Amino acid sequence: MAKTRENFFGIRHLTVKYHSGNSIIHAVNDVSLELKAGETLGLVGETGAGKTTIAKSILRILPESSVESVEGDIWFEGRQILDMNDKELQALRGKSISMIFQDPMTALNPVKTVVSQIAEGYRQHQNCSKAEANKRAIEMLEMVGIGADRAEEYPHQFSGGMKQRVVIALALACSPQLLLADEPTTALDVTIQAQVLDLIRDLRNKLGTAMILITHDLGVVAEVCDKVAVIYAGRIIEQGTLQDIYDHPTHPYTCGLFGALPDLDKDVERLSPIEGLPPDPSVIREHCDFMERCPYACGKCKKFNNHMIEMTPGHMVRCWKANEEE
Amino acid sequence: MIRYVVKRLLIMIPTLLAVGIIMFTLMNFVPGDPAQLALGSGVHTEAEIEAKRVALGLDRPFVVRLGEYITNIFTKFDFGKSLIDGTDIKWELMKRFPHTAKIAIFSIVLTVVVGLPLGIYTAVHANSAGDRVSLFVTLLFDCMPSFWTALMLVLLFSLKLKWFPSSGAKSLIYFVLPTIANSLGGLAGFTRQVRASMLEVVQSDYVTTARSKGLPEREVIYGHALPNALIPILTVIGMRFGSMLGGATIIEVVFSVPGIGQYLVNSINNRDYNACTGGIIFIAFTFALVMLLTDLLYAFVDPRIKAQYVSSNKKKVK
Repeated sequence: MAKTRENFFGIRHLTVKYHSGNSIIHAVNDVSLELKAGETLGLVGETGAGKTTIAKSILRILPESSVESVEGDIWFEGRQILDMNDKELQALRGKSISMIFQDPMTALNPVKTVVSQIAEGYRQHQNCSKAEANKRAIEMLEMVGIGADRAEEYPHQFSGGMKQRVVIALALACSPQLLLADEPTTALDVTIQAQVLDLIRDLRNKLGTAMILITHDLGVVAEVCDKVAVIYAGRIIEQGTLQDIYDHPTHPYTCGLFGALPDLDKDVERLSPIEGLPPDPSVIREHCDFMERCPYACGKCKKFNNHMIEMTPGHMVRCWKANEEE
Repeated sequence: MIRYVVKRLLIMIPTLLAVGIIMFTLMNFVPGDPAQLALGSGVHTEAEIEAKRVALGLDRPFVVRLGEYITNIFTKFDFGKSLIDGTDIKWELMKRFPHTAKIAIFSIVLTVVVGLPLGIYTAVHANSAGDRVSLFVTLLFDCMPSFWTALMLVLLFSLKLKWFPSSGAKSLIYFVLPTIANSLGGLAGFTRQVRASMLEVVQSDYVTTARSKGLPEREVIYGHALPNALIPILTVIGMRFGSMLGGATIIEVVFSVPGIGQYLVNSINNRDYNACTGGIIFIAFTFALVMLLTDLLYAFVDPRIKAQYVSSNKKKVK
């Protein structure tokens, strides 16, 4: 493809609003991201920060009935996803961009065999015979470690970890260029988490797929990602390379996240959690989103208008103190 | 699976037994003297009535008669004879059942053919103008009593336009109006049921997964959502069909269709206790059979239910 690597995939000024009763929920506020082919971005944030909403807006599979508006640009290989018609979207979904869903228990259709659920997507995009699609589906299942003898079984006959493998096989069946992995390990127990993570990483390396990994697990990010974006209350509050974020965490929220991690090298009595709760998503604030919970908050934060400050090239922080430290 | 069917068929026996005993007992306590009714109108002497009573076997104790009645039904499929004209109730029911079955089958087909797509459409386009119009129209039909709808249909299509005959059951064209009148009322409920269960399924994660694979919307709705919404829909279809097979009483009377429902109404009007009891046991039987078929269809639709049937059988084997 005669396209520059830079415009492989990107999001600019994405703003998503839901309506809930009489109030508007500002789920995603002015999020911008960029991704090169083959790169892995970690999207980190606590529950409700808007991570899944970002992923679902990329595939345009947000629940139509509750979405108020989706604004901004999402481009993939030079094309605008938000302007696509149904036909173009169907060609994109599953083939170029596919998604691993958060909850494997509910992501599979209970009345269809797993092999048919994988095969139908492949058949849709490759225009091949049913037998060929089935063969591919069984290959995919074997790749994620599920034997061909279990292919004709239904999701209820699988354990949670195996269902997650099926979901992964399903997402990778058409060798997509971009994989959106939405907390692929959250619903699994710790031993299976490691297996699934290894699996995703191996497959990504083998297939050269770019990936957006959504998680709230900083350990996972450190193992898999090249770049990191930390999301708080629907905004990216810090983004940069893995080294930027892990070696020089700057935003108080990012620092707080690291403070809440157990560290084997240090002898600390207790972990230090971030006090308080995320702010009300139905209100747009005139000041810094994190002010109420920030241990360093002062009067100047009230006037901060939530703009990004570039620390070093590529390392952006949404906190006025970042500027001062330089 | 076969084991399950056999088990269910065996369970039907005590059900029907209970229906038979209750019906026979109730009818026994209904005021009025069957012997006198059997003799017909006019004045009869005590001796005549007593003789008739002996002839009908009504002089024997209640328990003996009950035992005999139940035994005859279960061993010889013999419902006894009508008190009024002495016809064999079994043959009378058999003769009338095809008419009732026709109305029931046509009505259920019409309900499903109209209600299913309408329900799916209204679920997919929930709260749209089309959804509201459909709700209003089906609710309107639901609010009209079926005898009134039936009469209005006769007024318009038989008397005014002369498209369809208003009464009888000579050929299929006679069934058009009864079928429509019989379906309109239930259509609202059925459409709402389809809409409700589809609405729930359309928002589930696996439908989003299906969409994220790049499947066309039609495939997503009919291939992924609908099969998961079918269980409650099948239940409604089964219940409606089962009760319709018991005779659409009002419709049969309005359109003079000689079906089971009309037979029951006549037997009640004539105090023909035997015919009434027999008819109701027959209805219970067809209803139980349809419900069994519905349960078996569940297994076809949902592999989890099938697994339950199979595993419960395995337990029995052990």
